[in-house]
Amino acid sequence: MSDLFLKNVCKSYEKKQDKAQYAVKDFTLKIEDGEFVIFVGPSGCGKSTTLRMIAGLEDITGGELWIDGKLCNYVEPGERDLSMVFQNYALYPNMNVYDNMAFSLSVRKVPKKEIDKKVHETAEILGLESLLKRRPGELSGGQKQRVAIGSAIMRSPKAFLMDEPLSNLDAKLRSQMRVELAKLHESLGTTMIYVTHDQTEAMTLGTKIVVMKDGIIQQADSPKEVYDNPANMFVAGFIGSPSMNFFNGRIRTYAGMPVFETVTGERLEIPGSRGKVLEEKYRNKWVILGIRPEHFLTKTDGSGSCLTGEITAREMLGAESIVYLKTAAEEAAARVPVETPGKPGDKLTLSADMERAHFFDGHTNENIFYQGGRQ
Amino acid sequence: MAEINETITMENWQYNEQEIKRLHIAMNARALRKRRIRKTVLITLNIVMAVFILFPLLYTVSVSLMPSDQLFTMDMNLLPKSPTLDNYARALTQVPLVRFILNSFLVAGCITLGQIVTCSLAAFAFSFLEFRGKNVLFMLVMATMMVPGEATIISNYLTVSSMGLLDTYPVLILPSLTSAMGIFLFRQFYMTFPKSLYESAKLDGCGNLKFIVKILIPLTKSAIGAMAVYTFINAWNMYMWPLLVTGSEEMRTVQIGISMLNSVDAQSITLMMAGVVAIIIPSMVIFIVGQKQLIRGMFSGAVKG
Amino acid sequence: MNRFIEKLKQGNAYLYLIPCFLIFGVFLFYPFVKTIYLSFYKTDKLGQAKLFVGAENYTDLFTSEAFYNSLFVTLIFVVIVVVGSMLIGLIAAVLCSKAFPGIRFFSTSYALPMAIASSGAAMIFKIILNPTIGILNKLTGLDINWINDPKYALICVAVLTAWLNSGINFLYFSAGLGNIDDTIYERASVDGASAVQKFFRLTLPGLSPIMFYTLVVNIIQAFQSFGQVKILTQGGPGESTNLIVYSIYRDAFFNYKFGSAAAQSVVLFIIIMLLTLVMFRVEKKGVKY
Repeated sequence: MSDLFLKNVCKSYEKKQDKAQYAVKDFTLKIEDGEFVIFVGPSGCGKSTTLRMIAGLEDITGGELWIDGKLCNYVEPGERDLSMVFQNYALYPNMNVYDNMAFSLSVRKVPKKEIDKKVHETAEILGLESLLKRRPGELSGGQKQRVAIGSAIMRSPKAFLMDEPLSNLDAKLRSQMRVELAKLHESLGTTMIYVTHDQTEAMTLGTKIVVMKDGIIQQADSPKEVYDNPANMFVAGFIGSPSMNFFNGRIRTYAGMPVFETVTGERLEIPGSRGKVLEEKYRNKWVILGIRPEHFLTKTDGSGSCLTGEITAREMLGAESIVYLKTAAEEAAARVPVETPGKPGDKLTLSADMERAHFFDGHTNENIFYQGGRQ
Repeated sequence: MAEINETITMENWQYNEQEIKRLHIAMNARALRKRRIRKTVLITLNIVMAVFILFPLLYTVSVSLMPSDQLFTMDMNLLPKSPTLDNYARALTQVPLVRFILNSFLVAGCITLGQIVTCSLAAFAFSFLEFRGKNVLFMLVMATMMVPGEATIISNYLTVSSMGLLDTYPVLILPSLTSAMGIFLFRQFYMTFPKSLYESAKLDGCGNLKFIVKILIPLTKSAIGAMAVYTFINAWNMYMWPLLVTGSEEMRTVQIGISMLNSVDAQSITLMMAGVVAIIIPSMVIFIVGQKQLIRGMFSGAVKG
Repeated sequence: MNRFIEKLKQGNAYLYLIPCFLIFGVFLFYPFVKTIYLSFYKTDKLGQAKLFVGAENYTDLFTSEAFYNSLFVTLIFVVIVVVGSMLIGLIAAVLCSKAFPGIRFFSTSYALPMAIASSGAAMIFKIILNPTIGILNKLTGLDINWINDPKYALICVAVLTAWLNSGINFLYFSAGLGNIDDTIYERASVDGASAVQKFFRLTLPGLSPIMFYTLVVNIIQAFQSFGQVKILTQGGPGESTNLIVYSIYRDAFFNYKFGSAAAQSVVLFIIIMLLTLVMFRVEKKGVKY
């Protein structure tokens, strides 16, 4: 059993209290045993700093870190019983694979026999047996990655911390390792905290995604929730590829129906109860409409939520295509079936699936219909 | 967010709010203290080490400022009681120290310049040109590093004396006009440039010499700087060769000249120390000024094991 | 025609080597060969080879006690110098491996001995070690005649040389420490290694490539120490500091036994060459990554 709580954790670098520059601010998160938590965000958002604070490599300026109900702010990194995989793998260049994996146990004076058994077990899991005598310099990127992971799981720690572990691998190897990491998590059942800037990795691996920006948590939720129910425009735009399309506009009533009217006058009907709520609260106010590329439909019969634009580019993805439209108001990307006709320069009309559209407050950029904190 | 906060506070079963606060204050103080102690220890150790390393130099300066009667006592005399520059004035008049220093500057300067020219030419050929016997010749150059100077010094002495060169500037300069180390250093640097650099220059109609002067030399300033500092200091500090081949006072370099002070008379130790300080200063100044260059040039790639 | 141009181009390449090979030829290759040649001859006072004696100069050497003494003294000297100067350099480099206020001053101080001449240093130590007025005896309260006591003279010259050579070692080791990736220390702290374990299991092995290079350079350099012996002890007292290099100098320029001196030079060269080759062999087996 190992739970992690981070309570109001802060990190500031400025020495003077009044001029504190926060790299991480009020980071509050509860991580339960066995979770695969992903910290995701653009570079400089404080995700790595947070991970390093958990590991003990950085001092915690404010707030508390609890591991298994024990306050760990001031515990030495080696005594927190965590293990970490670094972006550049941080293998000890002077030791062979065997010694690299054995290191964390041997510094703890574990009997040689036990270490030997454990190394061979771990090497078997990761397919490293034939490489045990090699030095890191003689390994490929993927093999180094495996050794780093192997060294981390040797000790059966309370949690694994991984700092962008796949970012140095090429695309093919990355997706392969992603699958292996997921399998590993399943078989070990240990808590993992994983930092990445790649939202695909976050979506595929995590059981919980923590989206960060400027040192502040934007949303912490399951991948599905983060995707379906983003807390604000930043999360909505960051998660998903291609990113969500945003349209600036106002809520109006047109022919008795609540509609979203873009700055250039296109009208999109808002069905159901959400339309009612918007009409009540946001009539004539600025809102931002967000529609994911996959929520455009090519059927345009009779719906009152059509957008027309000129195709500027078209990407073929195999099963589907991405078309880039220039509508009167904004540029938009749509994911459509490959057979959809149209080449760059042609006009294309699509209807937006308004049931799955998102509405953000024009001033705060918060999701108007966000039902947060359902943890 | 508030909701989560609450649940967590509730689950902190082992501590209450106040205990946590107290813990924070105590631990922060302890961490700060630990960091301060660590820093103090580090600086103290460094001071001890620096005193140990610099002691001979500092003591020399101190002695050079003492009137000689203050040195010849049985009492503790780390520092001069009445500092005086008298020794320096006398050292300059007693032996032609200025002449020695000029000689050394001339010799070390020529050697430095010469080494840079010969070494960069050779290194250029070894790294950019193709010719028969390239590897053998390079190995030959590298092998010279293993030959101790003493293994050749006798024959060299016989050679220059048969050429009638003894006691001249050329005899001091000529033997050191090239060095395997310099060639190695420059070649190491040139190897980091892509061959296409040379090829595209060739296509643009740039001759070899022009390539060296216009492209290679500006690109290898840091290596040249390192090489210059290192060579100059070594040439300045040459001892055995000048000792053998110079006889007259006018041709002496500083290192030999200063040992003349050594033998003037036993009472003039303070004088001798003043002389030592005077000749250490130029090499030290060049070292301190060129230190950054030296480190950057010599260790960026040249020595990575 | 093309082949002619090709040849011309090749000739062109040799042009760039002429200056350096001219110097090497006249002042290194030729004298080196001549030294070997001389070592088989008896010479006159002007150093001219007079009488071919075969290996006699060598057999004389290897039956003379003085030569064995000289070898033995040199060996002890080299060991003290190399161990001492590398240790000083290493400690200094470790002390300067983390940033702190004043680090520039300290690192310059540690590298400074590099700029000092052996002759100047020898004169300084002569005063420091003087039995009556020397500061060392005063500071330690001892009454030792450092330079004139056969027990201490060699150690004194060796310590002086170690001090002189420590500057460049500091630079080598600092560069070596800088080459070690910082994240491996972070990983080691998460893995639970103590500072001591980190030093012995990561830092020292991480330095091993540069350590090896430094060792070779230091040994070669230590073998060639001359100025300090000449000024400080002249090989004495007795024969206690008569290093091979000094013995060569004395035989050639005081005793006019150029043949014998040449033979000693050849022996010195062979020793250094063998040591270098052995060390490269060891390196190929040991440190590689």
